[in-house]
Parts: sequence; structure tokens; C-alpha cells
Amino acid sequence: MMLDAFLAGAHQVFAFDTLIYMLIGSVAGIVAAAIPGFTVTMAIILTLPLTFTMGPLQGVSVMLSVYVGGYTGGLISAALLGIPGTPSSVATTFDAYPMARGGEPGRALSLGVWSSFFGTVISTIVLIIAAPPLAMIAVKLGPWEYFSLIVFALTIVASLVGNSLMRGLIAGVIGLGLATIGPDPMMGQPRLTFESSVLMPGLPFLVVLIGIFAISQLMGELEDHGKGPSSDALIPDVIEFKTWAVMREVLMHPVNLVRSSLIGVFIGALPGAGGSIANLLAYDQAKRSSINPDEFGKGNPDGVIASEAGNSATAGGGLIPMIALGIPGSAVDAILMAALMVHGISVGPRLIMDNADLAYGMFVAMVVASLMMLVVCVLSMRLFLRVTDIPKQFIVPTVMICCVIGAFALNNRVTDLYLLGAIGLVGYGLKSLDYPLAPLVLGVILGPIAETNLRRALMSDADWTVFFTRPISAVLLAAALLSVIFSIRSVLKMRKKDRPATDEQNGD
Amino acid sequence: MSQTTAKAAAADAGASAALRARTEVARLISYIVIGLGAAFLSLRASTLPTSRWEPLGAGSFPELVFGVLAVLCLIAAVRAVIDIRKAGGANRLGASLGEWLVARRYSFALFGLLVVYLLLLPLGGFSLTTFVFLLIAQLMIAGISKKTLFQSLIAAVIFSVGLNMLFAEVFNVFLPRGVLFAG
Amino acid sequence: MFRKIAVAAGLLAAAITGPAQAQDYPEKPIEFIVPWGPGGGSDTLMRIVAMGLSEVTGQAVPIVNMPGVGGTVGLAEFTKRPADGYTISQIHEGLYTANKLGITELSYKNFIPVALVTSSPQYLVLSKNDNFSNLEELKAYAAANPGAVRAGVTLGGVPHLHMAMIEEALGVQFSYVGFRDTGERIRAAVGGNVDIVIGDVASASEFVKNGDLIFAGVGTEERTSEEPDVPTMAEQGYDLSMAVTRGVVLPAGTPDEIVEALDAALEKAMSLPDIRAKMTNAGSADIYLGHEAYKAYLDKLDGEVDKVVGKLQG
Repeated sequence: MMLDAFLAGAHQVFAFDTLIYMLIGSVAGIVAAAIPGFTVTMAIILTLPLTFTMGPLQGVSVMLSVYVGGYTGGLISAALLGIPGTPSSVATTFDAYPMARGGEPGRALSLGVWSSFFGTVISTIVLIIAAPPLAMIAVKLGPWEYFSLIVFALTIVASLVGNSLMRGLIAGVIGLGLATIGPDPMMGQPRLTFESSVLMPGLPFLVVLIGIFAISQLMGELEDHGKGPSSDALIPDVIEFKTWAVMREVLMHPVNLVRSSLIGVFIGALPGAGGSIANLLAYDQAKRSSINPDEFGKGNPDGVIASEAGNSATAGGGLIPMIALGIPGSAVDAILMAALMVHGISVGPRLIMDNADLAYGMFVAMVVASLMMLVVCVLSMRLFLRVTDIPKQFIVPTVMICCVIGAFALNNRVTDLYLLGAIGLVGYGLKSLDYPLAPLVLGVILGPIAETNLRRALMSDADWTVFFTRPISAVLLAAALLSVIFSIRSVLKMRKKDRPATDEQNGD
Repeated sequence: MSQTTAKAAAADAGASAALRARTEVARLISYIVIGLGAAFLSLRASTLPTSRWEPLGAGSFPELVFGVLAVLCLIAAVRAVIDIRKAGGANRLGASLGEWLVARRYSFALFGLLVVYLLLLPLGGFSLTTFVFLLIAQLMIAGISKKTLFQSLIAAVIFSVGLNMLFAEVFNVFLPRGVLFAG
Repeated sequence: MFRKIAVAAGLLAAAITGPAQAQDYPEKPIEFIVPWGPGGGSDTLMRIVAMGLSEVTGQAVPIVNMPGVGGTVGLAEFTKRPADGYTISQIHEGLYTANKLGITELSYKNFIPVALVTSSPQYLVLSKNDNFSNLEELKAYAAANPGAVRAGVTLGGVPHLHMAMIEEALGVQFSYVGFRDTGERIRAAVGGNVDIVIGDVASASEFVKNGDLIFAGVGTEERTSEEPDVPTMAEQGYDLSMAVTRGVVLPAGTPDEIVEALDAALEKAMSLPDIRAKMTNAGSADIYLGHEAYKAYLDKLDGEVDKVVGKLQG
């Protein structure tokens, strides 16, 4: 029965036309995600009308290949330009960019591609063997557990701060605050908008991300411009990449790879969370368990592996609640579900029983999509590396235009563009004063989830102690406490060690 | 940031303390600005109406967040003042701000261009405004010569008119249209 | 005097340009502003409508998602577009609650209703629990334990309105928990984090089949064809009508000829077998109300919402 369904699904996926469409989808996903400002969600929406005319499994397979490609594509601009191509590749910039700047752009890309591939495969395996029980846990989680999880996730700010814990905390809280501007998440009443039509709809997360990282990074590229004969290209030399050697290198970090992938799977399986959180959490865990955490942020391969395996694994993770229960794990999954629904397939807890061939076909499609992503990336990597040859004069203004288009196309609002400019300037100012930017973005992501669930929890039960009496919630809060203690200890240790020598602003 | 300051520090170790003090003054100003802003927003949030549907109103969370931010900034500011005192105070503030701005004149010029571009976008439409923005920005970075002018023209056309056509015709996504020029 | 001249001039201009426009309408792509994000109920249904409209007219009908502030950002932008029939949009009951709760100045009167194209009947959905498994038991339990039943709604939204209607009809008191959309509410009900929610066939029927949720009543006049075993609220003694209806609108000032042409095109589109099948799959009842009928429906709805909206004021 299971084998029949598996074969039926595989048969449909391996049809020639399906494979061709998937290949196109994979390329489209990679390219869309590689351009800063363009997102996977955007690419999926563009493919949606096309899939209406395809069969259900064919349509979903194509969308999955866009999805998987998209989780990898973000790495390209993260590594080569220092700008996260998608919200899921924020942590990738920490180590892949210094590595590329240090003369190893090929290695940085290869590391990311292989980690993404293994991350997707691991998440697909978890999806196949453990979807129903994991989905049941995910759906039982109430607002208390979500709030505690977010509290825990906020504690990773300490890993992202760079030189000054204080400024890291300030940046994180600024992020939390920025996210409260706009309509209140419960009643939709405007707050802190000062009657301005620009602030009325709130600050979309993607606009903040592009403004903070992309605009400030592009402005930074022109610092000291015109002084001396410094090279025009962003990264001076193109060094060859050793695809197979790097594959071995990735496999030499099995613990990091598996841990990061599992973090990605679990975060992906929680409806409402996603790749944008998973990559930071995986990075944090890799840094904490490393024997020399000081190496992170300077081009450590472990950082690249953690971030890319973590974000790619959320692709499979997000499918867990969808296939097992019919509950979308992310915005992209919601679009996938809508596409299936239009075809008359009811996605719900009975999907695996009623449409087994479809469910198994999706598993097969995930594997095929990740293989395609790998092939496309390996073959086109030379092309991507050429980006580093293009002189600044073209790259900087053009990428800025892409950011403007991406920020606009998100909600088709011109007012978002004014926000983009303002946030870009603030981001550049903060960066110049050596405030770390990642905590700010983390705050913007986590703030609304924290507030919504806190308020929802208190509406469900006005009793505060429920946060401590529900077991999973209590465990998460305890983990958050441990995480804070751990951070304080390591900060104190570092301070003792470095006190005499360091000049605080010497690195960033 | 890192490169310039690192270079400066290496060049003259003695100036390092003074430089550090000056950077610290710049940060102190940022703490004060952010802290005051946060205090103001926290007060604003506290005046938001509560709701009869829930114990926490719309204002509670922002009030708390901005309150914490104000406190953090206060602590940071106090520490910065102590640091500056220790380093023997800051001098030549105006001059070093000037140097800082001059080193980044291209960055700010680019940003200025972006602002003008965004303001004109709803008037001129995507294709026209983008073309002008790209052309000016490219020439500003590369300098004007026959070669750069030619290259910039081609690149500007591709990424303004070309992109607009790609989005409109292939993806059916419409980029901002202008009042004066529809493209 | 000047006013009269202006009106006359306007009429004249409309008479000259109107028919010419209407004859060829549509001669270029029609932008469809959906004031909600991609992947939601409105988005999915309107994409199908757009597909049908495109098939009938031979012009592309691109969807432009413009979410924000309960659907009002997109509608505000829509009112600024030229009233020439090349930008269309969509409204549903949410506009009424947003308007009456003061979130937006816009009301349905700012638009010309063209046609009502979808209607999703709303069900009272119970989470599987030990205390009640149908409407009567719910009433008894809630009466005995005021405030103990947790109702999942979108605060200040249409589900809140429906839940308030039920609360009043049963003469009991629920406590409310706010969620953003139907999917979130249903998930909370499946996980047992709320006790009752408002839901529809598209989002809840699979869980009902699986035994996780129970349909306790539907807010239609007659039982629905998708769930013939579910009694209506009226059968059970509570005369409540609960549905989310979505219709296509044009900006005020659009020439009548365009309105009629679009109405005719939509009617044709919504009768295409393929489109009808897809609409049913996406959870909409088979329904079409043209320009006049839709207008009358909206006016009637206005009075109904007025009666209960006071209960939502927070």
C-alpha cells in the first residue's frame, strides 16, 4: 500500500515535463532569492497561476523546487555582497562574507550549497519518518509555549552582538520597538503612527531587513571611494572552488550539520516561525558549542554550515504540519495549500490516507528538487562568481534598484519605499557607530510573535503562572534562563581575558 | 569603519585614546537620542486606549519595550561618560566629524540620490526615474569619460526600461507608474 | 448655476466618451487589487475569479496583493485609481466592521458594487471536548459557567461579529481570544487551545471528518450541499445568518456602460464549468448577484451589521 503510493507518486514526479518545469522552477527560485529584495514568496506567487493549469502533484512539485532553490539562492548575495538575499540568510553573511572577502568566495559558496543540500535532505528524511507525531506536538503548542520559545530565541542576541553586549541589547530592543509601530496585532487599531499614512500599515519586516542590511551595506561600499588605487571590484580575486573537496569538508562537521538541520526542521514545523529564525538559532548553537567561538564572524566554515543547513531544513520542516495535518507552516506553505485546494484536494489530517500518492509524491519531489538545486548551483557557480568581477559602479546602483523593486513588490505600496530610505539611513548610522544589526532584525521578527502570543495567552487565561505550569513552556523558559547565564559567563570570561589589550572598536 | 579606524590606530598609537574618546562621544549622542525617543514613545504608548476584550491593551507591550530601551540607553550613556572622562576628554570633535563625513561623501551622495529618486518615482514613473538615477549614480562612482558614459547608458537602459518591461510583460507585476510619464 | 453646467458638461463628456470606451472594454489588462496577502481565502478565490475573467475577456487580469490594516490600505489606494474599469477590487463584510469600528473612513458606499461572486457559509465549530458536543449542550454549559468557554475570533473582525451574534442569541457569555485568520483559529481549536471558533468548509471540514472538530451549526437559510448533516442555526431556533461574501467593485464615478460590461463578463466567467468547480473546491457556495441585486444586498447588510456592531466596541 505504502510502496504503491510511493511508486505512483514517483512515477508522476519523474515524468519528463514535470522534471523540466521543476528545473525551471529551481533556477527561478535560486535567481529570485539571489537578488537582494526579491523573495522566495514572490517567486512562488508568480508561479502560482501557472500551476493552476498543471496537475496537482506537478504544480506542487514545481512550487517545491522554487522553494528549495530559494532557500539556497539567498546565500549567493550573502556571501558575495554581504547582503542577505532572503530573510533566511542573515546569519550566512556573518561568516560567508568575511570568507569571500578573505579571498575564498568559491569556498564560501560551495560550503553553503552543500550545507543547504544536506539540510534539505535531512529535513526530508525527518518529514518522511516523523511527520505525524511532530505535527501533533506542533499543533498542541498554545500561546504560552510560543511566547516562551520566543523568549528563548531572544536570548541568542548575546551571540550576535559582536563587540559590545550593551549596544547589541539596545539594537535588539529597538527591533522589538519598531515592530510595534502600525496596526496593533489584535484589534488592528493604529498605534504610534502619528496619523502618518507612511507608518499606518506598520513596518514590514522585509522592508526593515532590506533597509538595514542592503542600503547600509551599499552605502558602506562607497566609503573612502576615490582614495588611492583600491580595486573597483567588490572582491579582488576569483579563486577556484573545489566542489568535491568542499563536500568532504562539510561532511567533516557532522554534528554541526545534523544539529543545525534538526533546529531548522523543528522551527520550520512550528506554524508562524520559519527560516528567518532558524538560521540565527542554528548559528547561535554552533557558536556556543564550538571550542573557539572567537573564530565566528571571521570566516569560520562552521558558521556558514550552521546557517545554510538550518534555513534549508525549514523547507522540509514546514511541510510537516501541512502534510500531516493540513496546517501551513509558513506563508509559502499556505500558498501551496491553496494551490492544492483549487485542484479539489482537501489538505487535512487525512491527506496521507486519502491522497497517499500525492503525499509520497511530495516527498519524492523534495528530494528531486534538492538534487536539482545542487546541480544547478554547482554548474552555475562560476557564473555567480563573475558577479564579483563586475565593477562597483554597476553593482551598487543596480542592486539598490533591485532593493527598491523588492520592497515595492512586497505590498505594492509606494509608502514602503519611503520607509526603506529612512530605515536605510538609520541602519547606516547604527552600523557606523558599531551597533550590531542582526539583533535589530531578530527583534523585528520576534517582537510581533511574542506580543501576539503573550496577549493571547492572557486572554485565554488571565493567570500568569500558566507560563510556568505548562511543562513545555516551563522547559523553554528554563532554557532561556540557562542561555542568559551562559552568555553572561562567557562575556565575563572574555572581558577578563581581553581587558588589557583590546581596543573596543578595532573589529566589526 | 573598521578599516579606517584600524589604520588610524596603527599609524599613531598615541592618538588612539583620543580617537576612542571621540567615537565614544558620537555613541553617547546616539544613546541620548535613542533614549529620549524611546521615553517619548513609551509615554505615547501608555496613553493608548485599553480594550475590554483582554487584560493587556494595545499599549502595554510597546510601553514596556520602549521603557526598557530608555533604561538601557541611560545605562549605556552613563558608562560612556565615565569612559570619556577616563580617556581624558574629547577634543577636536568638530574636525573629526568633518573628516568622517568627507571620507563618506560618496556614501551620503548615493543616499541623497536615493531620496530624490524615491520622491520623484510617483511623478516620473519607474522607467524614466530609474534611468536617470542609474545614470547619475554610475557616473558619480566611475567618473565621467567617454567609456563610462557609454557603459552607464547601456546599463541604465537595461535596468530601467528593460526591467520594467520584464516585470510588466512577463510577470504581470506593475512597478510604480508616474503621473507625468506612464512607463 | 455653475453646478448645473458642470453636471451637464460631465454628462456630455460621459455620453461622448462613455459608449466608445464601453464598446471596446476591456482593451488592455485589468488590474485586480486584492487588499489581502497571498495565500488567504480572499486571495485564492479572487485568483480564480481573475482567471475566469481573463478567459472571457481575452485580457490579462493580474492580481495585485495590497495587504494592510484589515484590507483598508489596498482599498484606499484603489479609490485613487482612475475610474475607467481597468482597476477593479474586492470587498467583503470586513469593510463594514472596519468602518464602524473607526479603523477606516471608507465604506461600501465609496464603491460601485458590480457583482457578488462568492459566498462562504460560516459554521460554528466546536473543539472536541468533554463538556459539550452540540449547540444545546454548549448553551447549557456556557450558561452554567459564564466566561469559561473560550471563543477564537478575529477581534473587531467578521468572525467576532458572528460570535457576538451567537452569544446574544444563546443568552450566554464567552471569553474571547484573538487570532489573525481562519487558519490560525482552526489550528488553535484542533490543538485544544480554544473551545469554539467560527470556521468554514475549506478550513475545517477535514478536521471534522477526522473527528477533531464538530460542526454545531451553519448560518445559512437551508442546509449546505457540502455538509448536509449539519443543521442550520435557524433549525435549532436561532435565526442567524452568517456568511462571508465577496464581491467585485469599481471606484465611484465609473461610467455605467463599464459597470454593465464588467457585470456581464463576470457573469459569463462565473458560469464557466471549470471556474465553478474551482470555486467550489475553494469553499464558496454557487452564487452570483449582478450589479443591482448586489447593491440591494449590501444595503440590507448595512442595517444588519448596525444592529450588532455595538457589541464589538472595545
